[in-house]
Amino acid sequence: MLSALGSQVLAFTESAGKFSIFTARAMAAVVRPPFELRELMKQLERIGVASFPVVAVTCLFTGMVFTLQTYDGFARFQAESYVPGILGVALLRELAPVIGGLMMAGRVGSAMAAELGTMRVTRQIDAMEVMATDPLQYLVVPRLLATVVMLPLLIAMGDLIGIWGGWYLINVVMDAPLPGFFDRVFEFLEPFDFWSGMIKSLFFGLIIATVGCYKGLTTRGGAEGVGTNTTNAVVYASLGILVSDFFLTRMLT
Amino acid sequence: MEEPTFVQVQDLHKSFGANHVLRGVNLAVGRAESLVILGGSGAGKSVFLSHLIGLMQADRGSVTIDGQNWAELDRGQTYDLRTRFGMSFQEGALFDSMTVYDNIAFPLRRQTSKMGKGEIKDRVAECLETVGMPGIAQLMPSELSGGMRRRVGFARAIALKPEILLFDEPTTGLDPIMTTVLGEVIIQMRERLQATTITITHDISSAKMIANRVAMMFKGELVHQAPRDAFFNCDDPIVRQFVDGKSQGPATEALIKR
Repeated sequence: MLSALGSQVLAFTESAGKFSIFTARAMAAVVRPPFELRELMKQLERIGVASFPVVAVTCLFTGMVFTLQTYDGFARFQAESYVPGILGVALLRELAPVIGGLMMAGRVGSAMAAELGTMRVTRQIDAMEVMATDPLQYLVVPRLLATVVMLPLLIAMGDLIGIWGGWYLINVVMDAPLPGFFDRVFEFLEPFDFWSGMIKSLFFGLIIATVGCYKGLTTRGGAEGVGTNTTNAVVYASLGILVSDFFLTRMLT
Repeated sequence: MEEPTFVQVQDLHKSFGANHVLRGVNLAVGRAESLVILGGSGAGKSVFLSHLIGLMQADRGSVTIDGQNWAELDRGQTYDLRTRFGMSFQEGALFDSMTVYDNIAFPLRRQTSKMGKGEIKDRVAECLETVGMPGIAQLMPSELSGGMRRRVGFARAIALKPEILLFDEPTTGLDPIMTTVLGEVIIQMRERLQATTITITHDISSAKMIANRVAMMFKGELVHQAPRDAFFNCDDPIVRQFVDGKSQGPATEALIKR
């Protein structure tokens, strides 16, 4: 019983250590030539541009649901006019980065783990090493940079879409016109509300890419291994986002 | 001073956990020699090949290529030394997101001394010609048969005109005709490049075809090595059982256990 617990703790510590070393090596590889511009452009397109619809729909509905719930609640003490401001704060600081980040963990984190995992078990990674190419530089760095750059941009657009969703819900769907909706949002918001969301998105992008690539490159054991590691990549990245969100929020408030 | 042996392996040991895979391998291969390492499944052949090209590091002992010990090289030197190698993987290990052309051009584009677009195009065509598959450059690996994938893998391995060619099970799982064809391709590549070739296989017929010298790997050791004809006529019991494909003999226990 005790020894089983001990070996689990050891295994956890070991993988945490390996993951930290991997992250540090990936960071070091970012600033070391050669720079894979072609691969970077490809990943910016695949990770960023292609994810826009998913993030847009996610933020649109999150904005609408949040508005619906708060409107309903605030109406009990005739405070409907505060809804736009609350929506802006909640969306920019919390909802868009976290829910958008979770969606991206499912979309791009899993894709990275599955793709690199398949390359590992079919020995394409070894073939790359043999041809004097560092997989860290050729595969990991472009994915890491693309996610870290694109996630904040996607979330920034998601912020606007979510706020628009709130306006649409109140003014069109519920037909309860709230004049000056957008003015109320932007009067209430401070620049830091926006920036704290951007800092979070950047961290979440880092978590998604490092976990996805690490799980992919450490895949073993054929198709089953690829499946397990892909699932784990999504689970760990999502947990990482939720846990780090708390600590980031503590630091950013 | 005497020139060091081109490939020198001394007392190489490697374990994975409790599994002691390589148990003191000693080997010397000269320039332009063609060595075939025979052995059953689980004898440690693939692990050994990974050490030759520096993908794995020895627990004990050393692997020295042209006087350079893998264990003493830094990143840059490791990659520099690898550019003198060409390696063909068991299932080809082609990059399945790239066309055949981009696969073969990959090592050419990765070089430090840049080649022009035209040069790369010519070299890719030449490589495909050498392996007998001209005109398939625009296909994706998924559109190729097993034998074709191996040959594209060969073409990619020879793109940089390597001094050493490593073949990991080049003919496993192919029909007898394709096995002979690939054997001929290997011989042709070796003659064109004047390269040292080291092939691991358990296929006797292709070993007879491409080897100058044959070594037998058994339980993580090279138990017998000899020039080709002497090897196939020797009376070492393990070699005899393997070559004749008998179910009873000294090797049976180990092969089943793994």
